[in-house]
Amino acid sequence: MSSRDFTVLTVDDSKLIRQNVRKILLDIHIPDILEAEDGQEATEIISRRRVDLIISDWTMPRMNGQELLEWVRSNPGTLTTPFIMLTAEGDQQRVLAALKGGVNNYIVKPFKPDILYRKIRQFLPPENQHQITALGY
Amino acid sequence: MNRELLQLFFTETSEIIEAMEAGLLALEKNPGDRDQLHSVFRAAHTLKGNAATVGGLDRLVEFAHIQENVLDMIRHGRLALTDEVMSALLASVDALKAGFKRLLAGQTYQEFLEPVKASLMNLDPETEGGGWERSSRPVASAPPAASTEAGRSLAAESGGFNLQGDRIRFFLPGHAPVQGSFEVPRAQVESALFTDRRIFAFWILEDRLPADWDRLAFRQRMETYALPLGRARQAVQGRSVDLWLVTSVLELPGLMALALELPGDQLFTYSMEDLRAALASSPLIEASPPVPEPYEPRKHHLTRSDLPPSAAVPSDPLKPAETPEALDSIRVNVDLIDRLMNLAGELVLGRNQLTRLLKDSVEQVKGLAGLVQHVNQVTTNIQDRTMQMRMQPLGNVLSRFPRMVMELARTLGKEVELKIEGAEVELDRSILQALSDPMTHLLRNAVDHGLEPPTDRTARNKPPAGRIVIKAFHDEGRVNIAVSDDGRGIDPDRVVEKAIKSGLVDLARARQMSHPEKLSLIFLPGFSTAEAITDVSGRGVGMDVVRTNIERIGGSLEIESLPDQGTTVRLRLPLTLAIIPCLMVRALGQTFAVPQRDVAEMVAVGRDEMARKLLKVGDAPVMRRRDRLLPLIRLADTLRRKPTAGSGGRPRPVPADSADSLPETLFVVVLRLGPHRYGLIVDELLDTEEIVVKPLSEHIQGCRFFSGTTILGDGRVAMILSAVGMAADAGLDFKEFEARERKKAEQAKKSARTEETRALVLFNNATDEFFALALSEVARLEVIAPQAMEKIGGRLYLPYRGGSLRLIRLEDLLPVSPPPSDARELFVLIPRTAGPPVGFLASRIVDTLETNVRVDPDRFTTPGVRGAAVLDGRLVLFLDAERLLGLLDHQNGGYHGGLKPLAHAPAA
Repeated sequence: MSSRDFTVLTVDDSKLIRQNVRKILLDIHIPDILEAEDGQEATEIISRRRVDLIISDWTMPRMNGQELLEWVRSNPGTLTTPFIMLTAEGDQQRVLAALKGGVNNYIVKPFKPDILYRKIRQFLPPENQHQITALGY
Repeated sequence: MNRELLQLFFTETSEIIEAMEAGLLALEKNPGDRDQLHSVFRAAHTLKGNAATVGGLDRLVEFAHIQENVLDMIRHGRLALTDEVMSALLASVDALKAGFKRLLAGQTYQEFLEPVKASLMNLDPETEGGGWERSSRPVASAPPAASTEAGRSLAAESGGFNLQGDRIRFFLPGHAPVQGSFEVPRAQVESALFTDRRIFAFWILEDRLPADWDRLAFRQRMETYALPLGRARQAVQGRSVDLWLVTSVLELPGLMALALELPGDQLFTYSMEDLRAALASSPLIEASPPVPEPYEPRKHHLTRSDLPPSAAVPSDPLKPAETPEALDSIRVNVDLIDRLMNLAGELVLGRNQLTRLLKDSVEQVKGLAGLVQHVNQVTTNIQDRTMQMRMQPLGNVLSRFPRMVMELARTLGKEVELKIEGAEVELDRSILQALSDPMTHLLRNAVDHGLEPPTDRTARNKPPAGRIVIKAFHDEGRVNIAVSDDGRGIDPDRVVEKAIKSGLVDLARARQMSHPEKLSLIFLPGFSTAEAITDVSGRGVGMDVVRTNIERIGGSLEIESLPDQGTTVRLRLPLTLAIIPCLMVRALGQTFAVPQRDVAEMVAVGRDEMARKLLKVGDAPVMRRRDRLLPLIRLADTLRRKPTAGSGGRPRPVPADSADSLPETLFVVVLRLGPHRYGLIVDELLDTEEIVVKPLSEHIQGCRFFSGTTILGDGRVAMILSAVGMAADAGLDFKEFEARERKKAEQAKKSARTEETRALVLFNNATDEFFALALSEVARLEVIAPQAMEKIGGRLYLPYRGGSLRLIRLEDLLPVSPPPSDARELFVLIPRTAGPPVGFLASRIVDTLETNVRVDPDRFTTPGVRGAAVLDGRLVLFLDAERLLGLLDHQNGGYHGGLKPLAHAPAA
């Protein structure tokens, strides 16, 4: 798989966070970024398209991150799709719940690019991994 | 944090605060509304996350956190939504609003939050005052790396690990009650590092386990939260100790302890930074990048099914709401719209080609006409709607300026009030983007060069705080943005001085320049790069870049400035760039597109009218059109790069060209250029067409008279003409036109005054009064904005050609009506006089005409009026300029209209 068809889905009701993630991903040459405002919208996207990495917020209207995680992990097509949960500081129980639910990792907001890179690097195609290295992270 | 994100933060935050307020108000009406409660909670939560992401807003983060906590307590029934609680929450939103407004203005905001914060904290029923700290951990100040920091300090005590070839040995810290070590393959540690997992060690003493210790549950917890690296069982003083080395994505030892339900003092961690550093400094011989054993995501679904459902599914307070806020708007990715826009463009091109192709078949195929018509309409609609989607309020660009201006002002020790009007005016995204830099530049200049320091301002009787106004509005299908300041203004003579020094203009030319002409010198490339210019009062730095940027997006700009009163830069911008309606014209056998927005009107001049309508002012051909004389340029000449003006000193009026080379009908497209108009002579006028703008190829980007290209319905390429570029590039811009007019007028002055037939300028102030001056008596005609006039000692002056021109109101000398007070522009007729020049004010130039009418001196016997005559049914007063000025002498003890340096003008 090359970065050309590596698709990331960012799920957050805050456009600011989505933009932030988008920017960080664009910096390592991942152009295929889908965005959803909540879990519900995310499931609609996942049902239609292949997604290689999900980065999702916890607190969202309609369907929250935990519910999305459950949906993703009970959907045969996405059983092993890497799933990173974004949480606010101090949400310890949520972090644990998310791990129980099967997230691959979690990120405490606010976060800097290097944190995101560290957490997702293992899921990326080699060329994007090299890009991270090239950026000095 | 880059600019767009910050901007996004500002716009999103105001949305969030609004949503919070709306939610609370709804909740006040119906306290049982869970959905509203959730949405208010989410708003606070999002605000907290966003503020933290932006950084540097600790107080705001903390405040939102406290709000969130209160709302969370209400959600979980730990706090009743009483009136007191409600009013505290509403007050907190008000405080947020006020604070946010301050933040936008670049001011401190904390003081608005602090008092309300205390009242919010007092709501917590479970704690008294300080007890709050328990739940309100110092989130706000916690740097993102706090978790790793904590881990490091713990690991420092732990004493660590050492490298042994391709294996690494981990020790329990020396102070731990039990001792032991683990030998782990280096690759496994590298894999942990690569997958961002922290390494923990912990020990369990069998006989210290609580009675209800559930071994199975522990194993499940291990499986969920950790991945074992090593395990050792050993007997210490007869007690069985279980030692584990694990990795986990959990970062905080505290969290790990919580996850495994272990006492914190039995858990240790290692500094991942140290490990990373150690591994990096002693690479293995192969020195290949760590080959990650890709961590196979555990079969979480299995794990989960093993657990009681309640554990896997946390009791979720945010059950899917039925989305009461039924959204009537959605957010769409901009890329998608851009792509759609391109497709719409292609569709338009396709439609155009299809229409052309089917033109002949329309009559043969039944029903085709209607179908084509329908497709036509739908295409136009799609295009319109897509265009609408790309429209964004100007506020998106402007919103970051208050802060920037405040910060800049603070740095420069100035005080500024920034006012923004018309932030809701919508523009195409691409234009908005292109606008950001020029606007930034203009504002910087206004603060840096325009506004004086507070002390200087006070000395000049100005309020200490300078005022900058950004005003945006729609006008004639374009968007106008004016950036004005009330600073020191620009001294046109200093601009000229610098321009001469920099070799941009010669002395002779500079002497002839009018006030606005001098000012516009600062737009010349090279003006700003001149080293010496930075000390010019007013603007000048990088203005050519501003102009280039604005012209590139099809806009134009003008500058106005009055010394000591301030400077205004006006931008005129198109609404969109992508698809524009154009008038297609032909010249030299080629088709060209003229953007409709630049077209004021189209005129066909028949051969019989040519003599009357086409004149020359100076050497420049002009066309008489209603109340204006329009300079003319010929598209064919522009393209051939021939000067438009002939060199003939023919007597006026003359046809623009010798009669035999004139066609039957002359087609003139009257183009709009800010307040100016000029005529473009083309060979043929074709249809209007919606065209899709394609940028100019690099090779011809230097051609200023083209602004882009397009593909026509028949597949051929047509150039899009630029009104700005042609005027400048044809060698007949307005300055030239005026200069020629002036020169010619001077020549005419020497020639005989008496003519058989006389050319007259007909002008008036009130609609029922008409005045005439012989064209030969008029040296110049200027169009001015009323604001440009200065009133000094009861007299009106116009800053003019480096001096000031005395202006005369006819109503002061004659029993006639004044011009309407709301006139947006005024005309100044400067008669040819023996003394220093003065100008007569008129609100309208009605016509220029030739007549041999006999003036009846008895019809109107007033000093200063030669007489009256009826022309075209209008009673016209023929003015006697010299005598009028004589009257002025009488009234005011001499007129002082002379060209006198501004510096010596009496102060206002």
